[in-house]
Amino acid sequence: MRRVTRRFRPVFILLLMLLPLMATDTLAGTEQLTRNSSRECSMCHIRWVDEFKTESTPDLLVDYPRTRQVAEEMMCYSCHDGSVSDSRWKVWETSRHKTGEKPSDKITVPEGYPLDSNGNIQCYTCHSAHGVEGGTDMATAIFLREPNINSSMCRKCHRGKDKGPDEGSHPVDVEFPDFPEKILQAGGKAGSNNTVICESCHTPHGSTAEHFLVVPNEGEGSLTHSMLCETCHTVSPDINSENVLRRFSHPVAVKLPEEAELPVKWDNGEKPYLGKGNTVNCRTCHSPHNGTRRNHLLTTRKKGDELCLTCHTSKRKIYNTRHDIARELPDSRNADGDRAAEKGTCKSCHFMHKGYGPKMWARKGADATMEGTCLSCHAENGLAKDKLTGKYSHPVGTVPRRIKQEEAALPLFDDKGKRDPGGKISCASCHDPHRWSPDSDDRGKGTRDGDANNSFLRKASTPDGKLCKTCHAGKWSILGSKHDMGLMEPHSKNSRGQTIEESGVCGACHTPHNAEAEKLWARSTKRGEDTIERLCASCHAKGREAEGKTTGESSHPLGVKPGRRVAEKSGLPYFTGNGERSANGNVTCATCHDVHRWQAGVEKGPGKRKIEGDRFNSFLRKPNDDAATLCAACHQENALVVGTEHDMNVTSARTKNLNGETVKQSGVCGACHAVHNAFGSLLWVRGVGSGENRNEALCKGCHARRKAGSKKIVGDPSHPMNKAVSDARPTLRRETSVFYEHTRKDGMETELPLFNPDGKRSKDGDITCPTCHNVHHWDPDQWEKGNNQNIEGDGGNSFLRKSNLPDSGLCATCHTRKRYVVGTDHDMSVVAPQQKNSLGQTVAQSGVCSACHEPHGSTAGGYLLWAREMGQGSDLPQEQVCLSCHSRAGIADNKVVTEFDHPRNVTITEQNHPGQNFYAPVYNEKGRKVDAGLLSCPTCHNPHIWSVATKPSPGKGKPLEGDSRSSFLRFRSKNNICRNCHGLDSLVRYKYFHTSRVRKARQ
Amino acid sequence: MSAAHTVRCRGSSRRNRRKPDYQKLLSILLLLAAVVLPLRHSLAFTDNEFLPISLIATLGGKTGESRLRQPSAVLTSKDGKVFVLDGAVNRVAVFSPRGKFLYDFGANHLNMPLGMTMDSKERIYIADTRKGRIQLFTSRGKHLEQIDLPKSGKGIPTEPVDLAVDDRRKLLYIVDNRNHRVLIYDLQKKSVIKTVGKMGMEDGELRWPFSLVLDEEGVVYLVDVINTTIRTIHPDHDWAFEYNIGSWGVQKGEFFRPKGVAIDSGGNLLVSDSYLGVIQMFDRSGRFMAVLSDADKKIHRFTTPARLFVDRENRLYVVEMFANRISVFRMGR
Repeated sequence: MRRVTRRFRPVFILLLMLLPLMATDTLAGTEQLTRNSSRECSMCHIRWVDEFKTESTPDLLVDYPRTRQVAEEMMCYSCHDGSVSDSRWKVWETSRHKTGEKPSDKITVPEGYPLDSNGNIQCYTCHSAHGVEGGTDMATAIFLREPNINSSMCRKCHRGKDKGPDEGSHPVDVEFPDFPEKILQAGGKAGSNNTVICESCHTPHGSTAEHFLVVPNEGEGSLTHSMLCETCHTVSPDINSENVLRRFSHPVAVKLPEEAELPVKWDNGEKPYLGKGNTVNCRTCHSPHNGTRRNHLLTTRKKGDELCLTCHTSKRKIYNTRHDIARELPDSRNADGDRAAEKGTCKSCHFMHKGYGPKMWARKGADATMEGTCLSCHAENGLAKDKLTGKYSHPVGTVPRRIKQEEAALPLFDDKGKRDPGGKISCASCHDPHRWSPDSDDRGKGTRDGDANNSFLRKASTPDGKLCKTCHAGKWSILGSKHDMGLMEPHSKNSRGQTIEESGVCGACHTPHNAEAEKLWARSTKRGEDTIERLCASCHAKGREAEGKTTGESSHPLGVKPGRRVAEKSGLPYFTGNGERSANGNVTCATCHDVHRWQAGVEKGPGKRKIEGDRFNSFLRKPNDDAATLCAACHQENALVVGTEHDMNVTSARTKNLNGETVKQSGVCGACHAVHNAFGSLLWVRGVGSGENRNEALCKGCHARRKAGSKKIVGDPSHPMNKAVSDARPTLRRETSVFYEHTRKDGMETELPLFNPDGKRSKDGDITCPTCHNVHHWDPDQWEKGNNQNIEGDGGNSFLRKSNLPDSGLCATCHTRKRYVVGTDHDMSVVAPQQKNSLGQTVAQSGVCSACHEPHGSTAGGYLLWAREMGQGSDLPQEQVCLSCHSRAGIADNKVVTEFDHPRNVTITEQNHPGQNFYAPVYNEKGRKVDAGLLSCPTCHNPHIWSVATKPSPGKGKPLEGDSRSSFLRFRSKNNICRNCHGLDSLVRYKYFHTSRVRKARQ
Repeated sequence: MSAAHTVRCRGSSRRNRRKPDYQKLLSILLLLAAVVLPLRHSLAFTDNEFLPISLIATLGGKTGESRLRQPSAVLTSKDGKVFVLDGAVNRVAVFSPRGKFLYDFGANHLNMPLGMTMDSKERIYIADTRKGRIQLFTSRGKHLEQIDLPKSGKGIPTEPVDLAVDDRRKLLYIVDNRNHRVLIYDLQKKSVIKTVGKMGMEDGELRWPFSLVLDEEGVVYLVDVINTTIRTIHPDHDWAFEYNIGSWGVQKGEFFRPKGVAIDSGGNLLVSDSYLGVIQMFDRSGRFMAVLSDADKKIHRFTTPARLFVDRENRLYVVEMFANRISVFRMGR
């Protein structure tokens, strides 16, 4: 037994050694979740898993890991995928510190920062799941190989990057009390005491930009700002904030100028950096970690003007000009108190950063606008106090709305002094302060005052006005016109004493600075209220250059305001008293004349030919052609005269006006009206006839014997003229009250115009020719011109203001109660449409009223302007007009009075006055209404109103048989018309006078 | 060395007193070896322990709207549409059954969500992780409701990472990863009626739970990531923790980083291991059944497999987070 025991001793020992291992494996599948330090470590240190301790372990789920360090990417991700900690975005969806790459030559990886077997950086190079000695702060120590206080870990590898500007690196460890919130929100960190550290700009995880920057330095969208730099070195100019670190710095996100001459490599060995679209940003000049030593992190060692001139090569032309401050005013000091001679030409006026205004302005007194920088010197107390702009100067700070300049021909600026194609005019729009002469290398040496060819202008103004016409291209049509002073008055001088050669064509009348008056006027002006008129009169006045072209006493009115609708439709400009265009402005010379253009639509004047202007040119904005285009712009209705009988082209082309012009020379309007130098009111330029009223006189200038309108003379008797409506008889006055009274009360014009003796409209005026006639409008119902034919008119046209067809609208305007005749048995269109009046017109041609009344030259003796042959059988005119129809031979032969025996010479009661109830007119032998006179037909009958039984109304339009309540009787008399006069006595009288015995006896 | 020396000393002292019974000792050892060695040998894979799978489709393009950025959950609707929670970019991307991108939604309501489920009415619940809330959408992407979740007793915000709906009991299970617990939310009362779990390794304790799935009886299978096991919680037993499936290790039936869990049409559990890159199958009692493999019985190696989903056709959808894709497999031969 002992031998056996000895024999099996090795087996026993072997089994004894295997037992723990076998037991461990056996229980593995069913172990309880008790804390086990080996397992806890193996959670990451997978190599320490027991199965890997022996090669005999079969069929594992994973092979033995090759890397000793466990913090390789997949191990990190196995927890940081959100199952333990969510680093999906910060680590794996954004830019992060390089892994899987070898560190560059510039990097020194210290001991204790393991690389993988290939020498590559891995997560575990910096990270470890173990705590670090002395590190309990979550922000600096957890899972890092050592506490990363103030980016100390970064500096271990990236050595030398923290040595500051003296070594060409961005400063770190400097305190920044107002540490930008934007940096912190973006994931950047501030060091102790708000110092700048590596992690202020860079973050190893979570960056969305290159170089692990916390804020992209490429800008957003199309912007190419150095956004990160600008977070601290703010770019936004804020003139009101003295504490902003870098106000008015060199612009970024601007295209590199074409004139730039960048080197292939800067002095620091880097290629010049440009942003998207070849734009300049901070990195173009500065390198935050590779700058030249002691030179503001600049990529070049250049200093002074030379760095500026690397890009701005054309600015070299400032040297030796009057803007070369270092030479001209060497002892002057910039805003920092530095002498110009010491700082050089560029820095006398510009700071790269910390400017005091746009363009990095280095002088005090500038506001935020571009012109503000100029005014910091060109002011009363400035360096250039002898070069001011005066009260009247070219506008700046305004958006040129009406002026369209060639694209980008001259720069415009925004309120911050930046170029902006949609911006405002500024001094620098016309002036380039770095170049004295635009077309030569002249530096202005020895000259005190420049002219239109230099003066730092961007373009010369002579000989062809290149500068001015860049914006005011439309004004250049002045060339060759009679307003071209170089052509007309080549030796004249402007108010600054400049000849045309010095001032240019524009400068002869305008000077951009120190002008005499509005519109930059450069000639001496006359006194007057209206600016435009005043400027014109500076030449067009007695003793001035254009004294032969004055307007005379009777000229088109100026300073009047057209109606709103006229102003909107005319297409002509109107002006305020200050000469500014305004839709609410007044008519002035420039309303009709474009002083810069000889002929509308023609680009140039006629040149040296000294022609006299005519209706097609003469600087008129629109031609005064046969369609009366110019006049029609405002006087639209009056232009309808074209082609009518009042168009001299139609009726009297050979006649001449008082200026000796035929209508062909003067135009349609000009045949009767002269815009300037006319003869009296209405700008009349034809002869006048007799007449109490100016209008009547003008009409009779033609409508008279041996005159152009001799065939259309007003006969006698005719409709009353030169009388006020208030002078009419009471019955008529009452009738016209609708037309007259309410308009007076409301202060409105009457429906038909009335005129003063001097021809002006007045609501208290008299009736005269144009009361019923609109001499410019042939047919009131048609808004159209005439058809160039001389035709005979009728009641519907004939220049009447209202048509009389078919219902006598014109007559009824005044004679309001007479309109009820329409449709009654006294309306000829009802009872005798083919009958003609004395003018040979049927009622369809004449209208209802004119079938019986003829307004001009009545042929029937004139009573009531009767237009028919007077009737027989009575010697009283008021009965003759009735008998003209109501007789055996008349058209109303079925309505003839067979027995007429009422006593005639009757005195009516004293109450028989117009306006009283039951007024029954009585007449004298001449047919005039009198208070006590003869009874006659119209005593009982009103021939215009069929029935007063009800409210007066027009007739039915067909013949009717009347009764005692109608039949044109004046009174309502239901039982007996006699009772209206005779009352209760009427029956007795009737029975007596109508017995056969009495009738026979009276006959 | 010192231990061996100690044994030798003890042996020499005993020899003086009484001789050891080596024969008896040997027999005990042989008996133990007879029991243990077969057990040890059983840890190797048998042929039946490989479940071959074949790739049907891959969702997630390289560019454009179909590109996925670390997706974290997947599910399908009855009409076959595939909903992928593309949480890193705050959206749900919807694909056709053939993998064509259709539309997406959720951009204005989500903040780094991680979990997603669907109820029987095809309403989609999303665990809006960073905001500590649940967002409810229609399958067309119309936002329906927001469920704000209470903080833990220590005032720590809830961090929902996965959820599951028990339609029969009208309950919503919400995995609160940060507080190591599961919230049981009553969908009718609209309130949390119970929380289970706390930080720890004992029964009833969890360490960073991440995924869960319900079987047809409503039993909860919860992936306890750092405890490396699947916890089972029974709703009819007052949500008590019952037994665990799988344990720590790198052998079959063991987990290193368990992440996702799903139940196939046969009622078996599929559990993914994101670090090992494998998916294993268990029966519901916890017995290891197979590892998903290629046709040649080599373990199929996934790229960070996380959440799993099995559709009505028993197709397996594997969320391969780091690979930015969803892989669809047919299981079995």
